[in-house]
Amino acid sequence: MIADFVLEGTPKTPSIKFSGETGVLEISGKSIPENSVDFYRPMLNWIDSYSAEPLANTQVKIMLEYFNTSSSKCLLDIFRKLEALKKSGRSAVEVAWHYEDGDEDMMEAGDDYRSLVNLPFQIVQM
Amino acid sequence: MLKEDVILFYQGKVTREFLDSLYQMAEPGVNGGNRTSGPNKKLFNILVESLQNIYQHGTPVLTGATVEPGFDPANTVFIILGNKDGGYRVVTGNHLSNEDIPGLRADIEKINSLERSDLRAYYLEKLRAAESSEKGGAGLGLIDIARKSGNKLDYRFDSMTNGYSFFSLIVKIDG
Repeated sequence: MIADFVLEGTPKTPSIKFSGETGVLEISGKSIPENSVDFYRPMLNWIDSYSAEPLANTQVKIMLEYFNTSSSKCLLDIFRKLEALKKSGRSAVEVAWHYEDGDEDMMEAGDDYRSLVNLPFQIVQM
Repeated sequence: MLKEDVILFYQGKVTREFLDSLYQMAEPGVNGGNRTSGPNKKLFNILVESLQNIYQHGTPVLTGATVEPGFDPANTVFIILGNKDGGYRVVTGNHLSNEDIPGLRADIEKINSLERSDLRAYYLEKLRAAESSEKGGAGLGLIDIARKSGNKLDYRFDSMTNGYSFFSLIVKIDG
C-alpha cells in the first residue's frame, strides 16, 4: 500500500493529505505559488502510483480559500487523472468541493470544475 | 480634495520576496476585514493575479536593443487606490516590447466584449484547452481578473524608447 503524502500548509501553498490507507485525498488552505506546476507535480505522481493499486473507493475533499490561475490548471490535471482512474473501473471516485458561507468566488469555482470534470462532484457549503 | 486615497505605491522590480511581503500585508481578514468575500478578498485575488502575471511574463528580452541610461525594462509600478465607498482601483504597469502590443490589446478587447456568463464560458474553454506549460496559468490571468472585478478592464500603452512601451492595467473593484 502506498505511503501517505502529507504536506503542511504555508501562506502560499495548501495542506495536502493523500492517504493510501483510507483513499481520502484532501487539499485545503491557500494555493498561490508562482509556479504551481512544480508544487503539484509530486501529487500527480502520487496519484499515478495510487491508481496502480487503489482502494475500491476514493474520496477527494477540496477546501480551498483561494487559488491563483496557475493552480487552477494543476487542479484540473489532478481531476483528469482521477477521471482516468474512475474510467478504469478500479475505483469509485467522488469529489466534494467545500466553500465557506458567503464565498461566492469559491462556490463559482466549484461550479466551474463540476462542469468540466466527469466525476460525481458535490458542492458543499461549510 | 482627492476622491481616492493612495493606499500603496510601489515602483521597482517584482521579486518573489516583494510578492511574499505583499501577500502577507494584503491577506483577506488580516486587518479585520471580511475573510471570505467582499472587496478585500477581491483585491487580494486581483493583486495576486496581476503581479504574478508581471512576475511570469513582464520582463521583455532585450535582443540587441540599445538601452538608454536609467531605462530598466524589469521595472514595474503598481498602485492601489481606495475610495470612500470601500472599493478600489488597482493599477499595475510594466514595460513590454511593441511587438507584443497587438496581441495583448486583442486579448483585453475580447475579454471586455464578453458578458458575465460568456466570460465564464471563455475561461472554461481556455482552462480546458490549456497545455501544461512550465509557467502554468495558460493565459487565464486576465480573464480571472475581469471575472473577479466584475468590471471592464481599463488599459493604456505609452510609447517609450527602443521599441518598448509601458503597459498600464487599471482594474476597478466595487465597494
